[in-house]
This record gives sequence, structure tokens and C-alpha cells, in this order.
Amino acid sequence: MSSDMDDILQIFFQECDEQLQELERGLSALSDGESEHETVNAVFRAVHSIKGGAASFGLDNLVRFAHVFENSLDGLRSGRFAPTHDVVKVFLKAMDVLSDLVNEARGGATVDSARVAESHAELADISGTGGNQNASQAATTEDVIPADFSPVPMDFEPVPTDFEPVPFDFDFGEEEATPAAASLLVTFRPHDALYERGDDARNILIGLTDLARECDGEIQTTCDRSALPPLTDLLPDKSYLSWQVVLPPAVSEDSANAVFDWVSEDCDFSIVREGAEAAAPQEPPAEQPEPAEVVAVMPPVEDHEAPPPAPAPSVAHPIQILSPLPAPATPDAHPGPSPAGSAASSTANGAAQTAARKPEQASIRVDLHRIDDLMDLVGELVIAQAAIESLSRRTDAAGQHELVQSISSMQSLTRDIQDAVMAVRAQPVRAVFQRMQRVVREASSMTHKDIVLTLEGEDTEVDRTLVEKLTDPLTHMLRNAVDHGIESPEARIAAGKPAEGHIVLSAEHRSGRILITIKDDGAGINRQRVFETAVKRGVIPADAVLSDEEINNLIFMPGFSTAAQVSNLSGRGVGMDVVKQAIQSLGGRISISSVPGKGTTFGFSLPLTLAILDGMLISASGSTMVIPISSVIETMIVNQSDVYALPDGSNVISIRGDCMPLIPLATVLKLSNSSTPDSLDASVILVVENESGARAALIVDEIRDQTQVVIKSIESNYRQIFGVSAATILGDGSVSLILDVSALVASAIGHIDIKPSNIRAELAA
Amino acid sequence: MTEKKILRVLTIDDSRTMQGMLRKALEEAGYDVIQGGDGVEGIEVLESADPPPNVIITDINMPRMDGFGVIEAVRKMPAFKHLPVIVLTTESDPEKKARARAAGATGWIIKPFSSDSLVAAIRRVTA
Repeated sequence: MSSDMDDILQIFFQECDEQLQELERGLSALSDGESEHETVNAVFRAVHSIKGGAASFGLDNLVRFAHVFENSLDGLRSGRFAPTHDVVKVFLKAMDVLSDLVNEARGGATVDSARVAESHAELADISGTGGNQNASQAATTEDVIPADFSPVPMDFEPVPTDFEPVPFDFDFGEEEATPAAASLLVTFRPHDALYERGDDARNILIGLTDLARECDGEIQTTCDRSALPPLTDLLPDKSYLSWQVVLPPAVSEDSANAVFDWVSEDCDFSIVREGAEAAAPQEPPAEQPEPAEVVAVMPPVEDHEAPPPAPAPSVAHPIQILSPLPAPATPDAHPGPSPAGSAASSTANGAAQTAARKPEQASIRVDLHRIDDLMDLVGELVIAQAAIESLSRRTDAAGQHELVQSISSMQSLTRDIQDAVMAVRAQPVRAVFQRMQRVVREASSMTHKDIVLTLEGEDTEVDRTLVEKLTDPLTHMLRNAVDHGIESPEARIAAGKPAEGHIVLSAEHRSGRILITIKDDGAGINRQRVFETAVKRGVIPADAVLSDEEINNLIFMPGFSTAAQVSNLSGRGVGMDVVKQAIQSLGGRISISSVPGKGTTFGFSLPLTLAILDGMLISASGSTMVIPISSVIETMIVNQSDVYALPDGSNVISIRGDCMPLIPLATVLKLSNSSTPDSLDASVILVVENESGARAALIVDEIRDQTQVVIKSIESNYRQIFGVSAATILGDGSVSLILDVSALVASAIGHIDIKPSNIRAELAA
Repeated sequence: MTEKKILRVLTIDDSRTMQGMLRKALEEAGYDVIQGGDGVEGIEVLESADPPPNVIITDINMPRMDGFGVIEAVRKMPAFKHLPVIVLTTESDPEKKARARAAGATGWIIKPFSSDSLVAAIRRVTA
């Protein structure tokens, strides 16, 4: 049971994440001025769902806050107030609190109660805008909610099956004064509406029978058919019958009433204690409290302690129910929750606690179509495999030919399966992007700037592992954009710009990679200051001559910060160099473009997956190696006349007027000893480019093939090797190295340009 | 009741948490459970269910089609005009109950529910 509950709790937390995203999306739509009814509904539903689930698991903190949140949203939904800028701001803040509370319930950090209380008060304020109940509502919410929730379980006890019969006996013993020995007489006549509503008189009769059985009694039923018309006049959907049922004395009026809970408006019924007329005068008038008071006095029940079953007080009193009564007012006023209800909620509590300790299970939601596609392909694979097997038994030439064909079709099938699996792992970047709204919101309130973050291309899909790893770099970049990119409102107005800053975070697919850009409309990079700072910090020599782009790239150097004062936001000891490393470890590159006074754009170009890459198989000095195709710009045969020797013995090549270092691959990797091949004529070169666009020409022996390779880490299996980023296993079973183009290019550039050589190398890396 | 006929219950709820709890509670109590993720899907499941369910439990607040819509749609289908529909809702306010009642709901259960109360409610309409 508890492991089942754990599973459901996990689902609940997953769902909370989704609902929070939905909430975020809805609220940002509202803050953009959209006021579609469906958007408001979706926002309401998200909070409502979280509340509903949380209540089932006894997550009280979460329930309490979600309840207030929901109330405020209900005000919005019913049009009591409009989604003004301020209102949405309060909601956004409440969303952050709610998300932290979810995290707390999951076993994360405890949320500062002052923050919760503050948001709580703001929400109560909003929902109270229309009337005067505001103050009292805010004051009593704490008390109101438990009352709202704990009595709930007993409200849907049409038949009090959970009550042990034993306590009845006890109570009878105590209350000797009450003559309860009389049978209970129930008469009822269903309306047509009862049947129209999917109910049946039979259900009621069975309910009453159950009551009698619990008291080891039986019922006597009489059906009154006097209203039944002749068969010819009988309408099948009319109600003609009524019943009289005599229940054993031990059955209480309340429990009999509960049987009629759902049909109180669709059925005439009366519940009378037989001989009640006789009993009534003997009732001690003074000491016995009125049944209604008993109900009201019942204390709220703690959910960890099951109270004794409590229907007794009402049993004790001969209650007179007015004879033909359409709707007794009692159904909603049962005393105390059932023991079963509270026991269940206490076990749920326990389950919640044990589950909180368990590590979060990694799981993703996948569109069923994608799984179906994959399944289809696997089906085809099985067929293809069977075909190959049967063909392989044939020895004739035709069979051989067919076998080759089959294998090549299997190849394309494998590729399709690979794509299909990738599609299963692909996730939209939305989840990460939406988290950035909060980052910007918090950062701008900390820096007292008014900044709007616009998201574009949230549906762009990338591999799940990549999505997760994007969070930190993006968080840092956005904080940086808020802190350093966007100017203060005063400075913006002085520069003739709107006071409100704007950041656009967008994602798009571009030639097999994903491109993420962060664009702000701030002041742009102050290159003069960047340069001075870099000199001051000893990052570059004072006489370095750097291009604009190289200066821009200085901000990614370790230990660099241009902020005149280290703010509490960006100055957390994490520099942009960490972002760069993170992006590069994902196989990505960063580009910067900045226009003074107009703003800065950062671009991350990342591979769609970290597991597989398209590679070019080359050989150098007898070894087969893989070069990522994305870094190969072009391939060509060298013409000796384009090669120029440099004083240090290295060569450069001029390709259509562009000079770039020539890297003899075998030599650089120490596979061969001759530093320069005798003649470069007719050798093959690959023009490769690293992340920041620096190019070099690699000399290789030959190009063998183009293939997809599975990336295996060489660092974790062996150790880091210069010029090699990873390894793979080729079709023939041999291990092949995947070249680290960035490192190769960087080292070559470092060789040639001596002036700020170490800088260039690091910038290029 | 001790009869061993296996009853089929259709639950309609957009929350997977709630669906999970319903399925667990109902299957433990020996019911056969089919589920729909919102009103529209719930009606689709109902139409294609074979055998048809003996009772429907539906949430109120759902995207696409809410619980009231479900009840109205069910009541309009000749085959299911008299099918018991129990509304599952977190709101205990009488207004919602009245609306569900007007739409033709047979009864209601208020969340959070215990398995016992859920089963009692189903037995109340399918006994």
C-alpha cells in the first residue's frame, strides 16, 4: 500500500511541476494583457489541482497556501477584479512561494514562513478588494481552512458503514433515560427526477437494508402501489411507487437520513421513530442538549488521532422529524469525521513523509505517437532481421546480392530507430525557459529595474540531458543581463529609451544544432572599460592589440568582472568563464555581438544530443580517427604553392586569400616523428573551425567515410589526452578517437600569433 | 452486499494524481477501472467502452469539458441516461452541488476522499 502511495506521490510532484509551468504560462499571458477566459481558467485549475492533490497527501502547508491562492484566483475568474499589473505581480510572487512550498513538501528547503505569510496577506488583500470582508477573511483563513478540510471525509458517507456497531451499545447503556427501543419507520416516494439522475429506489432500499444488517436486524418493506395506473397508461419513466420500511430500533435517524443525502430534493421521505409520540413527553427536558447543539459543539478533529465514533448523541434522543418533509436540513451537519477517513489521512501523511526521503525518480512524459512510431520501426527491424537470417543461409550469388541489399535497408532502419529514440528523449526547452521568468523577476526586483523577459521558441526540442544542463548557464547569463546589460531606469530615460528594459530569450533549430540567444536592449559592452579592466587584472598585457570581438570575449576570461561594484547579484564568485566552460562541456559555442547603446546578444549554439555525433572518419599515420562533421568547413587537396613556411618551422596555408595555420595531424598527435612532410602536394586537408570561429587546416592521409558514432568518454575510461575529446567504437569493433578540434585549433593559433599568444589561445578555446 | 459481480467504473479527472488514487482505491476494492483525462476524453472512453461502465466518477474542474458538461452529455445519451454519475470535487460549497444536481448528477464526493467513502458512494448507487 505505502509503495503505491509513494508512486502516486511521485506522480503528484511531477504534476505539480507541470501545473506550475501552466501557471507560469498563464500568468505571463495575463501580464501581457491577455484576459481570455480560458487562460484565467487554466491558471485557476493549476492551483486548484495542486491543492486537491496536496490535500490527499495531508500536505497541510501547501494546502493552506494553495487554498488562499485559489480563492484570489476565483475572484479573478468570476470577474470581481481585473488582472491589473499589480494583481498579476502578486500572483507571480504567490506562484514563486507555491513552487517553493511544493519543493518543501518534496523534502527540499523549508520556506521562510514570513515570506509565505506576506504573500498570503497580499492574496487575501486582492480577493478582499471588492468588499469589507477583507480583514476578517485574512484573519480567519487559518482557522477556516482546517475546518473546511477536516469535516470533509464524513460528508460523503451516505451509509455509515464505517461505524462499528459496538459503540451504539455503549451509548445505549449510558443513556438509559432514553427509550430508544422503538423501531424506525421510514417512508419514501421518489420523484421522477430521482430516476432521471441515474439513481434508483432500489439503491435506497439496499442502503436501508445495509443499515439494518449492521445492527444485526432486518427490514420490513411494504410497497405502496396505489398510485400505479393500468398497464396501458403506464409511462416507463414516471415514478408511481412509494415504500414504507421498518428498521430495527438500533438504527439511528441520522444514519437513515444519510441514505437520503443525495436525493433529499428528489424524493418525499419521512423518518419517524415508532411510538415517538409516546416517548417524547418522558424526555428529560432540561439537561439534554438539543441535537443541533451537539453537532455544533463537536470539536474539530486532529487528523493524527482517530476519535471514537460519534453518532451516539443523536441516537440517544428521540428525534422527531416532521412528517411529510421535503428536505431536512441535516445532511451537511453530521458530527465528526469518520474514523476511517481520519485513519486514511494519517496513513497518507506517513506515506508523504517516507516518500520525501526517497530520491526523485527521473522520468519523462512522451507523446504516445512517438512511442508508437518507435514500436513500428522495431517491428520492421524484427522482419528485416528474419530476412537477413534466411538470406544468409543461401549460398548462391543472387542470395548474396539480396543479403547486401537487406543489410543496407537494415542500416537505414537502424538510423530511423535512432532518430525515433532521440525523439523520445527530446524535450521542449519550455520548462527551463519558464524558470527564467522567475530568475529575471527576482533579479530585477533586487536591482530595482523594471525588466520584461520575452520567451520565443519554447517548443524547440532538445535532448533531455541537455535541457537540464542549460538551467545554470542560462540563469547566470540572465542575471548578468539584468545586472550589467540593462541600465538603471534613469540612465535608460536619459539615453532616450523606455524605462522598462527588455530581454528576449529565444531558441531555434539551426542546421542540426540548437541556437539559444539572449538579447538585451541595454547599453552594450563597454569595450574600453573591458579592455582596461582586463589590463588591470593582468589578464592581458597593456599593449595588446585586440579586435572588438576579442575584447568582447574577454568577459569570459576567468576572474573577470567589469561591474564597478560587485553587486550581490552577479558577484557570487561565479564568473562568465564558468558559463563558457559549461556550454563548451556540452559541445557548444558562445558568440557575442554588442552594439554600444543598443544592447548585447549572446548566442549559444549547442548539439541536439550529447550521445551521438555525425563524424568524418579520417586516417593519419595509420590510425583511424573521427572528426565531428559540424566542425569541418571544407575539404580539399593541398597545392604546395599555397603553403608558406614561418620562421618557427610551422606552416600556414592560404586558401582563397585567407591564411590559416596548417596542422600536420599525425605530428601534432605524436603519431609520426617527421615534423614536416617532405611534400605537401596532393595531401588531403580539412578546414576546421572551432566554437569561436577560428579556423585551421588539418593535414590527414585520407578521408574514409562519414558515419554516426556513439560518444564514449575517454576521461572516465582512461585519462584526458591532448587533442582528443572522446572515443568511440567503430563498426569493425576497433576503438577510434574523436578529435577535439577546439584544442587543436587553439594550439595552432597559439603557435603562430606570438603577441598575446596565451590570450588568443584561451580566447579561442 | 456480497455479490461478486465485477463492476466497471469510469473515472474522469485531469489530475494524474487523482486518477492514480482513484485507480488504486477502486482496484483494491475489486472494481474494474477505466479512465478519461478530461471531459471530452471521458465521453470518448464512455462511448467506446465495452462493457459499458456501471458508474461514472467525474471531476468538476477540467480543461476542454468540465464535469457539468460531462453530466449533461451523459444524460443526453439514450444508452446512459440513467447511468449513475458521481461528482468528485474539492469544493464543498452548496452552489456547486446545486449546479451538479441540476445538471443531473446522482451524488457527490468531496476530495480528499478515503477509499472507504469512495467505495461506499459507489455502492450507494450501484448496489
